[in-house]
Amino acid sequence: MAAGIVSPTLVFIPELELIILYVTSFSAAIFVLYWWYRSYSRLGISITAILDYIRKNWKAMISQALSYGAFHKKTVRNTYAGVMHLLIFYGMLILFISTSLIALSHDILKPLFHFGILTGTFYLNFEVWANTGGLMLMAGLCMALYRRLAKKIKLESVFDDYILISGLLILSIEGFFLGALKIALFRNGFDIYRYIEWYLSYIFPAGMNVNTAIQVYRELWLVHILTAFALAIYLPFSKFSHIVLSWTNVTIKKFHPRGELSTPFLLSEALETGNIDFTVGAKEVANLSTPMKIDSLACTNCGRCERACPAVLSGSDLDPRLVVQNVKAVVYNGKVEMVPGILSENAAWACTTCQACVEECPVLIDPHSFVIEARRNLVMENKISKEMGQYFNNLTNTQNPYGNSPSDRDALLKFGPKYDSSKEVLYWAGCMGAFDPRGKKIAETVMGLLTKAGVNFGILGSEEKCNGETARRMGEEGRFQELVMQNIDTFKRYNVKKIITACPHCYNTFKNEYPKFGFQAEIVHHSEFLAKLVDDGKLKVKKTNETVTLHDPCYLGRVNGEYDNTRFIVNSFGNLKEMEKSRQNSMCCGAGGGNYWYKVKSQDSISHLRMQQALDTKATKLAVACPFCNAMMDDASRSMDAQNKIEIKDVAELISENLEN
Amino acid sequence: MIYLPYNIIVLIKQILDIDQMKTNPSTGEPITEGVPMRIENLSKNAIEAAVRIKEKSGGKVTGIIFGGEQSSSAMKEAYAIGVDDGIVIKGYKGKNPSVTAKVLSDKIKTLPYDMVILGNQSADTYTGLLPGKLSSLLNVPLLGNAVSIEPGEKEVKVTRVLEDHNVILKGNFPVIISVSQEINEPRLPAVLQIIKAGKREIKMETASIQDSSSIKVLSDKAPKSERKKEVYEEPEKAIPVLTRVIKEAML
Ligand code: SF4
Ligand code: SF4
Repeated sequence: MAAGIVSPTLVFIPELELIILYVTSFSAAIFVLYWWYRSYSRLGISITAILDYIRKNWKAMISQALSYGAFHKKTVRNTYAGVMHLLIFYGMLILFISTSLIALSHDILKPLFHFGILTGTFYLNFEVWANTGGLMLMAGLCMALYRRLAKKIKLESVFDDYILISGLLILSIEGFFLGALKIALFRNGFDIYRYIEWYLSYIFPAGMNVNTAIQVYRELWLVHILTAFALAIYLPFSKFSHIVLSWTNVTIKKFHPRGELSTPFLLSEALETGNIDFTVGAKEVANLSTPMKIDSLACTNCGRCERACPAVLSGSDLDPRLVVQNVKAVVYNGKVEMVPGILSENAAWACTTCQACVEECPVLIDPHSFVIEARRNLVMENKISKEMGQYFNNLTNTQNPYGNSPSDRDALLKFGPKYDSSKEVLYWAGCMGAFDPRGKKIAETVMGLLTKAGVNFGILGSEEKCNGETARRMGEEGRFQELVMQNIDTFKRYNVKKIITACPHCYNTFKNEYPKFGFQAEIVHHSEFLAKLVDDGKLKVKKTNETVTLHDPCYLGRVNGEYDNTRFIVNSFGNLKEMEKSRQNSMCCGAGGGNYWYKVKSQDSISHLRMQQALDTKATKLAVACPFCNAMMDDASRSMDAQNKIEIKDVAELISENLEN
Repeated sequence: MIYLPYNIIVLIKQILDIDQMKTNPSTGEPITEGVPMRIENLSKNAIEAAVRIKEKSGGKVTGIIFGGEQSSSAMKEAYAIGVDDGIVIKGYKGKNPSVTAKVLSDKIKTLPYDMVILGNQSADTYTGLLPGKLSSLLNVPLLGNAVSIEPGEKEVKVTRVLEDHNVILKGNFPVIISVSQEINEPRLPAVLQIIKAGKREIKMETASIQDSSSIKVLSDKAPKSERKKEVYEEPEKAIPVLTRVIKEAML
C-alpha cells in the first residue's frame, strides 16, 4: 500500500453547508420514497399488501430486477438505445455508490470512529471508477441528446426530456470541475488516477490564490448540491420517474403465456352457480385491473410499441403508446371512459393482436391488453358493427364464422379418416381448412403428406367447431367459452392426446388458453410436425435453387417463440431470403384479432405494406404458415398486381411440391 | 291511455333456423330434425325498433311469443336486447294465421298498449297475413311495412316503403306497426347478457283455443335445382365463363 494515499477531507466546507447537504439529501430521499409509495397506494394497494408480495416473491423479484432492470434485457436489443441506457444507468449507479462511499468515509467513519476507508489502493481504484462513472453518464446523456436533436427516429420528445438531460449533464460537468479544482488545490501525485479531472485541473492556473480557489470551490459545491436536490425533487414529475416505476414494474411482473388472454369469468361456473353479477371489460379506466394500472405507471413514453405497431404503420388511429399514456394520465381518477376517452372505437377494432407492442416494450407492459378490455366493454354495450354481429351470430348458429352448415365440414373426410380412439393424433383443420377454398387445399395437402409419411391420424369432420380464438380477441368472452366447452367435451369424449393444427391461432388457443378450462394435450402446428417428418427422412424433399422468403405468423412466432420449423422447411428445398422484418420483428399480415372479418378506417392496408416487404426481397415465392396470412397476402398480391412476381404458398404445399417421389 | 313514455307490445316469432335446414336429396322433403330454433329475423327488427323507442322516450316493452316450451330461449334473447316483460303462450302448431291472430289478439286485449310492433311476415311460411288479421280483430289501424317509426304525443308517424316511392303515414294511438327489414340493424346481445337476462321471469301461459286447422300443406318439397356449382378460384378463369353465361342468358 502506497503510504499517504488518502482521500482529502473537505475541511474548508463549513458546517452550515454540510447541514444543508444532509438536510437536502435526506429530505429528497424521503420525498422520493414517499412519492414511490403513494404511486401505488393511490391505486388502493396497502403497505401490507406490498410487504406480503415481497415476502412471497422475493426470489423472482431479484432476478427480474436484475435481468430486466439492471441489465435492460429488452432495451439492449436495439443497439443504440441499449448502449445509451446502459451508459446512463451504470454511470449513475457508479456515481451513486462513490458518493455514498465518500459520505460513509468522511462523515460517518472519520468523525465517529476516526478512520476512513478511502485510502491506499482501494482509493486509487475508487478514483478510476468515479471518473469512469462520470464519463459513462456524460456519454450516455450526449447520445440521448443526439438521438433527439438529430431526429434519427420518431420520438415523442417533450420539454421535460431536455430539462432532464441537460440537468444531468450540468450535474456531471459540475462534478468534474469540483474534482478538478480539488486536485488543483492539493495536487497530490496519486490523483492522476482521476484521469479526467487530473487533466481538467490544469485549466486552473497554478499560482491561483488559495482563498479564491476555496471560495470558488464552496460556491460550486453548493450549486452542485442544489442541482442534485432540484433534480431529485423533479424526478417524480419527469420521465426519469421510470427509473423507479419501471424498475418496480419489471421486478413485480407476473409472467403468463403470452398467448393467453385474461379470463374475466368462468362461464361454466356462472351457469352452475347462477352468479353472473360481474363486470366484463373496462368501461372506464377505473375498471382496469390493478396490475394493468401498475403497468401504465411504468410507461416511459419511449414509443417502441408505436414504431412496431402495424395499425400505426397503416395509418389507422390506433397508437399503443398513446393508449398506455392516456391511461397513465388519468389512472388515479379513473372516471374516464375507455372509448372514446382513451382510444376511439375505430382504434379499438384496429388492433390485430399481433403483440408487436408486447414484444417491444422494454418495461414489460402489455399495451394490447388495454385494447382487449375496451373491446370487451364495447361488446357488452352492443357497440359492434354489422359484420361483427354477423360473425358472432354465425358462431352461435353454425359454430363457424361463415355461417355455413356445420355438416359441410364432413367434406374433408374424403381426404382423411374419421378420428377415433385408435388414432394417434388428431388433425384439426380449423374453419379456414373446412370452408375457405384455399384453406381447404392446404388441409388436403397436409393430410396427403401425413398419409404419405404413414402417420396414424384422424379428423373430426362436423364434430369440429370453431375454437373461439377470434371471438375472444374481439371481446366476446361468452361466445368464446361456449365454444371452448363444446370442443373440450368432444376432446374428452375421444380422449384426444395430441393435436396437429392447420392454423397458428387454433394452435395458440388450444395450447395456451384451453388448459384454463380443463383441457391439456400436446399441441403442434403442422409446420413443426412436417419439419420433423422431413428431418426424420419420412418425407424426402429435393433441393432446388429457388429463392423463397418467409412470413412469420404472429401466433407461431412472436406469441409462441417458434421461428425455426418454418425456416427449416424452406431451407430443406430452397434458399431462404429473410425479409427486413422477420422473426420477433416480423410484421403482421393484418388479419388477426378479428380484422379479417371486418373493416376499419386506415390510410393503407397492412397486408399491402407487408406484401411490399416480401417483394423487396426479390424472392419468387413467399412461404406462409397460416391460412389467414395466406389469404391476406394473396389478396394483397392481387390488388398490387404482383401475382406474376411472387407465388404465395403454405410451407406444407412447398414440401409437397418438392417431394422426391 | 298513457303517452310518452310508451307502452309497446312486440310480437316475436320463433322459427326453425331455415339457413341450417337441409332437404332430403332423394325425396326433396325438408329435414327438420336437429335443426335449431332461432328468432325470426324480422321479429329481431321489431324488437330492436321497440327497444330503440323505449331507449329514446322511455316506456315499457312487452314481448309476446305464441310458441311452445322451447320459446323461453327466444324470450331470453329478447330480454337481452331490451324487452322488459315476456309472455310465452304455449300451443302454437303453425300453419294457420287465423288461429295465431285470435290467440294473440285475445292476449293483447288484456294489456295496455300504444303500439303493437311486429315483423311484416316470417321466413318460414311467408303468408304476411298476421298484421292485417290482428288489425281487424283488435279494430286498431295497421301501419304496414315500416322503415321508420317516429312516435309523437298522440300519434305516430311511419314511413312505409313502396317499390318506387315512400309513403308517410300518421295514425293515432293505439296502432299496429309491421316493420320491414330495412328499418334497423338489430343488435346482437353478448352471451353473458343473454345469460343474465335468462334469470328474469317469463310468464308461461297456454293458449285457450286449439288449432283446428283449415289449412293443408299439399307439398313442401324443394324444387329441383339445376345448379352445376362450378367453383373457380382464379378470377382470370372465372371471368370468361361468367361473361359467356350471362351473354347466353341474354339471348
Ligand atoms: S397488438 Fe399489434 S396491432 Fe395491437 S396495438 Fe399491439 S402492435 Fe398494434
Ligand atoms: S408501452 Fe412500453 S414500449 Fe410503449 S411507450 Fe410505453 S414503455 Fe415504451
